[in-house]
Amino acid sequence: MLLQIQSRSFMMRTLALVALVGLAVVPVCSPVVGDDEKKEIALNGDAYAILNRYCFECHGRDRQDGGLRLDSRQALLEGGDSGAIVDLANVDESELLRRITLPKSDSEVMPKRGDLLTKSDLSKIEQWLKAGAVWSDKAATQKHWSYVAPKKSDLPKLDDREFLNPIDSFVAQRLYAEGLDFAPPADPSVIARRIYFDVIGLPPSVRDVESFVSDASCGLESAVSGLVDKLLASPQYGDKWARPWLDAARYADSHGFQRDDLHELWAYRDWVIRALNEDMPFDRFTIEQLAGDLMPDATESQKIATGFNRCSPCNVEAGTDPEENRFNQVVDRVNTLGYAWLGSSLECAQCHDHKYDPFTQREYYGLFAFFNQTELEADRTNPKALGSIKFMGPYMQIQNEASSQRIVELESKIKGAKQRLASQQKRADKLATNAQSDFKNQSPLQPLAFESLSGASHELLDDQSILLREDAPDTDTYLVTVSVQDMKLSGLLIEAISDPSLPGNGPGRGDAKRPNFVLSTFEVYPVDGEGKPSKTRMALTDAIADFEQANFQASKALDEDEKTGWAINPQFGKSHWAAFRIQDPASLDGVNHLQLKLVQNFGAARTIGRLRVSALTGDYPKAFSKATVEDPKVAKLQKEIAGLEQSLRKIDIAKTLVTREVDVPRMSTMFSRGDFRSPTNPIEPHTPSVLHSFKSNGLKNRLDLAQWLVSPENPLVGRVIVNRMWGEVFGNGLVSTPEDFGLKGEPPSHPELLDWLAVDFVEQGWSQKKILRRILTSQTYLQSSHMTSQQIDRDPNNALLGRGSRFRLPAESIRDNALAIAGLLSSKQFGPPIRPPQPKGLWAKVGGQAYEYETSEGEDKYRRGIYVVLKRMSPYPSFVTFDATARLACRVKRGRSNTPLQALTLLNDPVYVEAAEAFADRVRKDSTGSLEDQLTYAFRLAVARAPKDFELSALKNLFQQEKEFTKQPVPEDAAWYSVASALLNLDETITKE
Amino acid sequence: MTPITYVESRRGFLNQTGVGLGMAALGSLLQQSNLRADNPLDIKVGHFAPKAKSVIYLHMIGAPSQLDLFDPKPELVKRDKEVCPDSLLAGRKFAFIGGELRLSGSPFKFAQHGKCGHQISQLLPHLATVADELCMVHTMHTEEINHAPAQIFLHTGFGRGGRPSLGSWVTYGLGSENQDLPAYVVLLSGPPGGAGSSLYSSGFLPSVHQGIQFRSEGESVLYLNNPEGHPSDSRRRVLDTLGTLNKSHLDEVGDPEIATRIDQYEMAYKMQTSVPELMEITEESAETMTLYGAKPGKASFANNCLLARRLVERGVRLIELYDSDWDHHNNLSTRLSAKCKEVDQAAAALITDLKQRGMLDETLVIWGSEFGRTPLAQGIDGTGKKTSPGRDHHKDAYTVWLAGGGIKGGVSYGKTDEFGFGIAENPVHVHDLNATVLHLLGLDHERLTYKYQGREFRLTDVAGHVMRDWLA
Repeated sequence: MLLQIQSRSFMMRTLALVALVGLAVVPVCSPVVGDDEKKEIALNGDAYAILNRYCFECHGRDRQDGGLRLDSRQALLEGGDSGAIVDLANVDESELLRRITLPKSDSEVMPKRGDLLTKSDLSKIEQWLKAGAVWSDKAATQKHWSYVAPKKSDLPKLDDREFLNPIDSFVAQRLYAEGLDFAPPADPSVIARRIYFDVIGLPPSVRDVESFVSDASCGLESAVSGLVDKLLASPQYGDKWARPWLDAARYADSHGFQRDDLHELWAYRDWVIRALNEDMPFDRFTIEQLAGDLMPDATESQKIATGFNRCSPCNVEAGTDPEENRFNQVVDRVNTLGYAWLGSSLECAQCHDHKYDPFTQREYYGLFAFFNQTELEADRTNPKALGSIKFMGPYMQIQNEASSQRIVELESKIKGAKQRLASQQKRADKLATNAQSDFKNQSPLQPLAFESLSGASHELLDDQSILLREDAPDTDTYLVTVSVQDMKLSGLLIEAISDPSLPGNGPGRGDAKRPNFVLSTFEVYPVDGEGKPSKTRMALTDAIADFEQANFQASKALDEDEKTGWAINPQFGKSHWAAFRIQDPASLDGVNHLQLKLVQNFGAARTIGRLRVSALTGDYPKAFSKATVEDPKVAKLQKEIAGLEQSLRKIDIAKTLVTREVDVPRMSTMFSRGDFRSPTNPIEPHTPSVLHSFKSNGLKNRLDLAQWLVSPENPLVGRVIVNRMWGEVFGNGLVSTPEDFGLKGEPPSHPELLDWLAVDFVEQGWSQKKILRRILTSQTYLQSSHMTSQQIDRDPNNALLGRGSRFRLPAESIRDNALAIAGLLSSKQFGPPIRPPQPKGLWAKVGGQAYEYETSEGEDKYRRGIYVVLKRMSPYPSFVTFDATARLACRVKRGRSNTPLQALTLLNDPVYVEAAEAFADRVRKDSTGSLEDQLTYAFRLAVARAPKDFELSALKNLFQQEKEFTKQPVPEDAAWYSVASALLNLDETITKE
Repeated sequence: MTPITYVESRRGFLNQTGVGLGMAALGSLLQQSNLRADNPLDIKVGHFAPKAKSVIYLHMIGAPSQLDLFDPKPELVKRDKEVCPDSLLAGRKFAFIGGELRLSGSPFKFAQHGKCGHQISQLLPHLATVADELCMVHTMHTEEINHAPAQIFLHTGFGRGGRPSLGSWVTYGLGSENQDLPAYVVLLSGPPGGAGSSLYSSGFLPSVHQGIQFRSEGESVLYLNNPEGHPSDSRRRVLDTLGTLNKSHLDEVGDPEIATRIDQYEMAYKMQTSVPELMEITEESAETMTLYGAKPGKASFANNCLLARRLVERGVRLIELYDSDWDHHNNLSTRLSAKCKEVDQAAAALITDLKQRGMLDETLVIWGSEFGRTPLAQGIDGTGKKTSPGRDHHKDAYTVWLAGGGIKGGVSYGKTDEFGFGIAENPVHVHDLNATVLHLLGLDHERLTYKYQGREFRLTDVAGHVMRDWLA
């Protein structure tokens, strides 16, 4: 919107053209009709607002750079340190005007930072100075427009035209005032495609287009109305409209930061989709997400909705202070509330009073206090170990009738099997214990040195065991040095001990579900007098263990093959031991120290979490054999249980992150400079005073806050929400800064229309579908988006709405669209996130768990983008290329860039290559006519309209050339692939026309 | 979303890109009607004359120990293993260590190097040979104590994600001198930093400013290669048809975005040649390969340094190298020595090579990390942990060095206290470093702003001073 002023003389010429003024932005306080006095008041008000917006930050009450103040007439006329800046007798030569009209590159330009004044603003300041710079006190005390409750004004009376849809009346009024008119409606096929994208985010089928075109021939308006209603009832509506809301909610499938572990929150995503499909009134939609847990008799669904709060990133990098993390999460929640509901950037007030919007730091922490009572989500597992932060939850299990029954069934089977196992095991354990205690003089060895070659942290516990801590490396090798002086060693006992600090109690370090370890090789070296281990390892034999996983016997730790080893699946969560006999105890004579080398290179952190080494002395029991340890009945039962448990796991006992209030409330305070280490005065929950008053049910909790937010008295929320919906449809909101309705935001292009819609939204029961319907059935919406160069010169951003909008589809829709055109798209909804193909190696593990990126199979691979997994530190690459974000913070408007990487993605990403192949096949399967028929059909699939002759011949030309020059075995295949690829890459294909 | 509007040196990029396809006619149409949307990567003139045109940023992920490399502390060595007096710990925050903390002197020898007499550890013999080129800053400090937040803070001036990286700010402010390659390139040896791709994200700036990773394995740029079975000549025909159809649609619809799209496809096509050509280091002389210690076909820091020089030669604005595994909480002496062997030669070679080719004057090289390491030992602290010693995270004082691109070589800036806990004189905040980097590129950090969510954002937030003492 900013227009570059190249030079002063140019500016002056521009100012002379007063007629131009107002094109960019309607003066917010402008009177409806021009009565001189009112005009003057408006001018004063506008001038004040402009100075406030651009100047007061540095030349106002709090700060006077260059000794200059501009917030009173007297101060303005007095000037600053370097003299007067306004000469009322000779306004054109005023320093003020000179400085604000310089080009951006000039070092003297004002404002020094940020946007320059628009032409319209410049003109108003000049007029105002020429009129004597009259200062109205009213202007200074007038509330900024967005903090005054909206009202429905009377619909404009237009001489010769009547509109059924109020949107059109307001838009027409503005257009007529500029001497302009609506553009003609777009071609019906274009309109059909536009409506499909705007309601369900998918392209229409060829038949859908045909039927709409035929309906439209009998009356465009009724055809539009019918189609909009049909699509609003489609379940795919929620898939489309959830995306912008989830951007605002910063929904993702992982924590963010270094330990970017995946978390389960998809039930919340599904909740949003279902709520939108049901057209849940926006006030309820708000309350359930912010405070569903606090509603009386909260249902499961209402608790799931509070996953909204849990979308805040969570830092569980080892070494993080849990309180700092919690503080940052609360800050994120306050900031999100500001952007998503209030269209306000509250975040400045975390550290100090907002510089230009009327929000104080105290008020910021007033809002903070509402969010300050939720459970800690990450905490130290060991309060003494600063580095021991772990993610805690809270999670809620989700009930599901069909699966519940099966779960009960399986659980009872498992219980029975476990009981049988227990009694059987007792016998076996006894044998094993006997076996272990058979070793006479078994004594733990104190490690003199321990080293993890992967650098894992560890500590020595009192029982001489070593506990590994913090991030687990994928593979590791432990070097343990022990003293064996005068011991008469006959063997060594390795214990892998379970421990509550290990995932699933260990004894492995990988993950809680399968805390296995694999001891790939076990080697022992005598250490000489200088501390150097010998190069020759000692011979070990007769490996036995209390338990051995199939094909992973303890003896495998002694063979040369590093791919095999000792492991204990499925006996997780309990301690295990293995013993190794020293073949030639005599060789130990004179050896005082041994170095034990435990190689564990299976990967995925299948390493021992707590290790103890013991000496076995005296006679290695000869009679000891595996048979005494292994009991086939135990093994059989274990296998049975493992099978049942696997079936149970497959049932997906889904869980989801929810918000829960703490039992004992925390004290809320302000924080000096926004630093969590510097709490200051205690504070009560309260809301910003510039907005409507806060009513409490007595608790002053999140529920009160949510209800306050969607009070019909709230001047912002209705405007903010309808503006965002408008922006989704038209590419730009009526306020083009949807995140900022404050002083520095753009004023609305059509203030009365915005207010009318905002009030209507509440009157219509906060129904988003009704607002969308109203927008989509307007003449404004149906206009052709073709642009003339005159239009581009005069209204490049289409602020006047004198034509339709055309802009590139959002990231997820680009993939959805390609898959739909190719006939691959699955409309399956809900459930855990899906993983379409992506290049190998992108999910590199840094901290936390390692994840294999396993591409989804079957139809899951082709489901809509809203279901694609979002790992914050490695988001789906092609979406990022098309301006999706990692959702690290609330975002209410996406960028729309145009880059070579986008071209490479659509041409070469295997997802799009597969789409092109499928598209090529589909065309030939669906259409068996002439080449022209087939090409026409393909073209219509891609962009809905029929090709022009010229376009058809270009495609035909490509087809024939490809067929001629290709070296592929089936030239026709190659030719069709190229045609399909060209069509999928058309600007028109990825654009909503 | 108005981009900053400097006076532009060149309007439009038709002259720069010389696209085929009857684009000349299109160009004249666009010029007449002033239609062409500005290419955000057009060269822009900064706020004042730049000293550096490009930046090569060597980021040691995990935080190397300044006390073992650049900032010798004889007192610490003298009192090695002594229990640290509480007076030295007041107000300090550590990520992991607690309880009885012990001082930890460096086991490595330091010597003075060059005319300037920089103190450099025995672990960096190659770097010592270019000592006089280096401006050594000993008093860097930051706000964040854990890797991901500190990395994000260093790159974006803010401890949580979502804001643009230094590289994005720079390309936003200056555009690119090469339209056939991304303006901001990222090279990795080892896994990425804890904050993943958010370190080179464009945040709220248009995504054209994001850092693009050139990979050593697989495709060098994601989706660069044509799918199997679809050779380049076929691709060219598809692009020609695509161009023709897009052009006809542009004629009808009149939206300048379509013209931009046509150009992007041509740029993509050019990248398919320019990127592989760039990555082909075998065309370098044997002498150069030896200088860096580069070996073709290997993913290494040495190869990346050489690639960085090749990228600068091609006008790429900002190249960031990430080298991982510098987080030495334990077993520091072995692990740090090993890491230094991996980077010392190549980092020194980069400076030597740039200088030999007359490129160092216009190329700023930075070597640093998200924070430093404690003068305290981690691992023998009496709380039961038994490890060979390492050092914990330290945000209050650490060393980075800069060279070339308007930097005065041989400067040793700032002093830390006798143990290296805190700063004795001339502190340098992350914002100061970033302000200075922008300054060297001709950008005023207070005026390089972007309006988003109602605020004029800066890389340096509301702080930052240009470090004039570093400037040549």
